[in-house]
Amino acid sequence: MRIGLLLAAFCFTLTACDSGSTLREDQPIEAVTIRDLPADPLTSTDPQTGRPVGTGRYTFFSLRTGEIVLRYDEADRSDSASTAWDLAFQGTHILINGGSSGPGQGGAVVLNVPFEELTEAPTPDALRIDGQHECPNGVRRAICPGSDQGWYHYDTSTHIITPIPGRTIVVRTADGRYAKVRILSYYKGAPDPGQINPETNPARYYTFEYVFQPDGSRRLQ
Amino acid sequence: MFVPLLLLLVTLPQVGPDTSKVIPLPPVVITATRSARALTDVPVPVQLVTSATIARTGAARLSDLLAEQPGLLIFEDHGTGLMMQGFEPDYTLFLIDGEPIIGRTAGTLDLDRFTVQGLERIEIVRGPTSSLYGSEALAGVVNLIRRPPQSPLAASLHARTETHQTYQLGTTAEMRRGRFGASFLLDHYRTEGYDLAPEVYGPTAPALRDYTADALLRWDLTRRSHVSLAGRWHHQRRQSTFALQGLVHDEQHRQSDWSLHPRLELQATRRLRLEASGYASSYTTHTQMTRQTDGALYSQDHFTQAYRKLELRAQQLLSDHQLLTVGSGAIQEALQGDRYDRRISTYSGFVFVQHEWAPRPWLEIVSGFRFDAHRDYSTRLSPRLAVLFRPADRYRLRASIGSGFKAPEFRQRYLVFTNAAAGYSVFGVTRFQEELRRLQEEGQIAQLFIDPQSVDMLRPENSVALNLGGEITLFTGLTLTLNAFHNEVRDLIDTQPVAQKTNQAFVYTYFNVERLFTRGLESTLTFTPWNSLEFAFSYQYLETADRDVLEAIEAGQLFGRAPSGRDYRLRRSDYGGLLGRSRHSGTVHVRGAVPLAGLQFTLRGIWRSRYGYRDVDGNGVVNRPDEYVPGYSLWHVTLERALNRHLKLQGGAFNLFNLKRPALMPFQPERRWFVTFTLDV
Repeated sequence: MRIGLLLAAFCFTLTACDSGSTLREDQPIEAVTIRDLPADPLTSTDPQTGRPVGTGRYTFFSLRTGEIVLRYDEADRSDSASTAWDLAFQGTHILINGGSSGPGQGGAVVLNVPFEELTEAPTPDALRIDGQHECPNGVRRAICPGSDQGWYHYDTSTHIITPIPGRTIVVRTADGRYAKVRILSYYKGAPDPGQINPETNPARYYTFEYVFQPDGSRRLQ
Repeated sequence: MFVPLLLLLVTLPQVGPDTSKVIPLPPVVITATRSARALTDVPVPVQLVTSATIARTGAARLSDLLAEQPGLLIFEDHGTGLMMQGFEPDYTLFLIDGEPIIGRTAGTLDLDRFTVQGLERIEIVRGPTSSLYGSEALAGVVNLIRRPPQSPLAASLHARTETHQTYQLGTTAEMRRGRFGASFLLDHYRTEGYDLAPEVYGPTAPALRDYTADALLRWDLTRRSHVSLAGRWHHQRRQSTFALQGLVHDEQHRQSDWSLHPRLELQATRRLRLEASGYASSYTTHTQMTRQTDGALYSQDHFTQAYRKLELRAQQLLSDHQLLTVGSGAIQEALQGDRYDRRISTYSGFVFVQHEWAPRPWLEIVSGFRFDAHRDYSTRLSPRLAVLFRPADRYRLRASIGSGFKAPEFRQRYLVFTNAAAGYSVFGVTRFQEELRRLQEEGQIAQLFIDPQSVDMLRPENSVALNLGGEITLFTGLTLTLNAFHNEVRDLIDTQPVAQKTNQAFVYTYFNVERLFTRGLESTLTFTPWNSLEFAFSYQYLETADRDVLEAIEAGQLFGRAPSGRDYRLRRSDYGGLLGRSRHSGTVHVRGAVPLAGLQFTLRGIWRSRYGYRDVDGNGVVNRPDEYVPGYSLWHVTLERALNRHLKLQGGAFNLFNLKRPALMPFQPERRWFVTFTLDV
């Protein structure tokens, strides 16, 4: 009975998030899912090592508009120095628009709290900024690179990158507003992690869901 | 009954097989206490595989034989290893006539390396036995005991054929002339391997050629003393092919090992027995991969390991039913290989003391410890206390608490390795300071994460274990044995990054970090309604867990991702424990005879429940159904008929119902039929 109640409450929360209907009388905020954002996929082969490589460039994304600002394969990189974007993706690396990575007020922190349970962004002093905050492996990044350091786990035997369940990235956008992000997949088509086929599901395609709070508060429900 | 038992301690090794036919004594074992004890009166759990059992199963290799023994499971990792009490193969010590067998790959001693021919018996001791044997004896000890020369003159020929063009041809010979005895063994085993996945280029299991030669010479001196010399040589070649980027490559693997074991046992006085033994062993492997079209070398790897040991032991029968054993020894180890930048030679020393005491007819107490000192890792003290209660003839109660350890592996101590393609480096702890300084001088280090001086000596991985059990003979022919165990393991060694290079890659070395436990219950029930029919059932319940994972679960910090994409907080019951461990497992043995047809048969079944083999949802632990290998059972049958006094014919099948799982269990061959001729003269 208690479990049933809990489940019902949980489902209700989920529907509330997904449909964007109001749980309270406040301004509605929506959960958005972005599918297959290309983060510099492996398109060519290194002539020396024979290993597949990408361009090394980032794809820039705005959480505020829900759109790509600049793709990795566009030649004109001028928008990368603007505050039009909030997150930049290249391989497993994710940058925020702030500190050493951009001119904005961006910051981020990876929390070990499930997406649905995270109702409020942490206070600004808990946020990390690229070029300022050191990661366990020594790099200064808001979202730490490396297996089990940030958002993903790398399996050394299957070479598969899997988002760590329960990790939620709280992001401060370039203009100082808050969002929460959950990475769902690193592979095109977002297959179940047990069903990844490297041929049909190439790597470096992000599928993620996020909730953006436009009113400037830290509330993320 | 009481006094003779303790006298047995010293005198029993000399009791010949002819005597045992006259007096039905319980079998005698020597591994658990390094003194001859009746199997039923050892205070720690001991399992015995006799030569008769070995012959009846029809197994050719030690892997097939041990896989079907109660409470033992196979763990595949760079070879076929043994899992005992939930420990990976790294943590079980293998001995031959009491001396350690060397030559492990990634911690696994490959049981396919050993023929079962020429063995008198196999003794399997449960629970940590480092108090007598030092490193590797955490889960327990498996002692392969050679058949001593007994007959004036005897020889046997052994020919076997099996599915997959597998052949075995072996011969043994033994002789006794007065005080001199000798036995010899030659064994050749070959197989063409098998291919479970024809759509993938190359065989699943490689073609294999295996040769073993073994000899034991023994001179009896006066007064129950003797000198012996045992030697063994083994060579194996494996040949396989694989495709790499569309090109066919050949892979050839060769390994050779030998050992020499001189020993002197001296009955100095009626109550004092002395033993001196030397042991030298060497193990070499060479793996080479070449492109088939032009023979271009793709990769090759050499490894050589040498082991020398000298040990002295004294056993004094004291008054008041006490037996004191003291021993000491020195070990020299050397290794050389492509992953070590130079030849490494290292020394260690040890002393051990054991006190066996029977203060009451119904009580025996064995206590002891061993002290191991090594140049390259912390010293280790391994105590053990074991108690046997014998309230009545039909009951035995055993309790033991002990500590085991495993020395840091060679790579953890001495590795100097830089991955040319990825740029990272891994250094063994003894080489870390020097190699890091070199990288710093070359300007390759961008930053340090820790103070290099804090990388000191590694502690051996170690355990504290409790075993509690006993046996009950409910009535003649029905015996139940039980053993509950708990192993708390600490200081498991893993790599951690310690510095970052200017090329962004990391420098790793080894630290004592992980903790785990294994616990469970082992039970066997044997039922012999009459002489020609025997049933044996065994069941093992096993729980294993990484302590850090449990802490994360308790803190609500570990999550899983369901196929629906939903994240959920893991509960204790969602956690599937360590990889490769089945929670439930068991065996069935049925042995019988059809007297009219002169047939004997054995039917053996092995069953195990599902076990984790991978992590799918990125949390590093087993929690989803698709992270498990489903449970299964395997059945083997062997039939045997004596054609005449000299000739015996045996046949049967392993994996009778043809369990086949190419993707999940590539190491499990299909059904194998076999036929064996044995000629004894």
